Amino acid sequence: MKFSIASVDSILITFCSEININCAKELYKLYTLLKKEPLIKEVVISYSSILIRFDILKSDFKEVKKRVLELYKETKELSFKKKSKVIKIPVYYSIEVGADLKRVAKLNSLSIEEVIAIHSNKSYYVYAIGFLPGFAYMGEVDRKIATPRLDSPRKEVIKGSVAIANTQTSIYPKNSAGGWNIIGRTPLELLSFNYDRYSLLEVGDMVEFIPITKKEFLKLGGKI
Amino acid sequence: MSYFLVKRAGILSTIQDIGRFGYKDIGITQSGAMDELAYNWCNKLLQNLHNTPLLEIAYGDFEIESFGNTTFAFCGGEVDIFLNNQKINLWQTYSINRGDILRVKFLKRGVRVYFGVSGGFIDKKVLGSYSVSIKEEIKRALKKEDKLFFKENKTFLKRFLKRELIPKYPNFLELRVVLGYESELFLKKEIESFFNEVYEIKSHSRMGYIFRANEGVFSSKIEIISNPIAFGAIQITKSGEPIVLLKEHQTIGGYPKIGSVIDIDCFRLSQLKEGDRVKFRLIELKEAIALSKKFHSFFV
Repeated sequence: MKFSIASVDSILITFCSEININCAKELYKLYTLLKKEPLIKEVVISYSSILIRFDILKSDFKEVKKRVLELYKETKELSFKKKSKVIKIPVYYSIEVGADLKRVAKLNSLSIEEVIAIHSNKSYYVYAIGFLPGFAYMGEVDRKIATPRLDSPRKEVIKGSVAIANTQTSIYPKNSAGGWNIIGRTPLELLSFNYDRYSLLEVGDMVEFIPITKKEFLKLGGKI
Repeated sequence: MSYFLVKRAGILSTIQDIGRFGYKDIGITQSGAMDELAYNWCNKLLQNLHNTPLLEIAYGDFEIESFGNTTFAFCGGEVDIFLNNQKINLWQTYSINRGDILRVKFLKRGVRVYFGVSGGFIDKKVLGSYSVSIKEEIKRALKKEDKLFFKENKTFLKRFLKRELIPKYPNFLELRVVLGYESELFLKKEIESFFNEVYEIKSHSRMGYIFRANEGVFSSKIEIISNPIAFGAIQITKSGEPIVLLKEHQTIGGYPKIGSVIDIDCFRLSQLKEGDRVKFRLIELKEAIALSKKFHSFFV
């Protein structure tokens, strides 16, 4: 664990030098404790690091560091499984809503059915959220369907689009520009004030994609 | 209820407080007043509580008609303001009555001016803050015909800021920096020349300020795993352009960061325009903390 100065009131805690699921899960346990810590005003988690911001008038680097080390000790007794949620995402996989489904199949010498089967056959870990509110960077996609980003991003990707970039997968929470390979669409809202914290997905969640038919997609409120 | 009717909304007029906290981990930025110095003075002159929602008017070109009585003030960049065709000062409170017209021209110096009323504007909080976040479509900028609600207040107290305390809005700034983040991955000579150069602003938005690359400053290719961004962080892009990240910054980023501009200098930077210039100056963390604490303890 390494501490770096991020700004006058922020510390960056780095856990590891590569993206690694075990490291991410250790980091996540610390994050859950930091979220509840009154000394800390803001916690942001990414693949291998956490940024914490404290109130400069109420605390200082020394006190915050000491507290982080204490909480880190506590994480040793925490189990990841108890903390993490599993979220099932229904997806209508089809060339009708998956503009790059053919490309992903072709580049990997697979059939469209195989791509769908491989993508929906495992659960993914949410490593980080960024780029857009609620845009979850999930991994890892099976190398058999890993596909590089488009050469130039699309001007508009439709909300709910499920996409792949290399070995990562994500869902566009709202219409936006984007360069990931679109393979399907979910009827679920990714952002809503009805959710506890506005975003359906949070770092540390495990996500499973469930293939659905067009009829089911429309019934669940999906739009073509 | 009392309100101002917006006759001209300007280019980017948004309700702001200090910002939104606790949601960066789901990708939601802080947002909030870009220039907290002018914003805080405006609330202080109006005897409002810290963090009261005001209007941030970027570039000017704003007009309202009053349907109520209250006390107001403007603080920020230099601009001509007229109350019923009578020119008024910034950094001073005035009373406004039903039927009055308030006009703000285009800013002459600086980028943003804050418009506050006694008690602040009445608006809805979203995720714990009144701040508009443009990029995230959390609330929105003002439009013509919008109404800005406030609480009727007939007691007027004239207050103004002493001339020597009024901030200046120059087109060159020295920005104080604390080293941090991936600074040890840069070469010593890269860091030295970064602090020797004068940088020109290429473009800016509420997200941050992008500076033109100066030839030959950065040569090493540093790869990092995307990590979280702090307010004021200085990213160095692959082409050597420094980017200082401000109130609507993205929450995580993959460019290496040399350190951060201290918060009080980020507020001053927020008043610079394309073509204006800055020099980055390294200071010790201890000194930076003392400066920042002095600012916040004065206003909070």
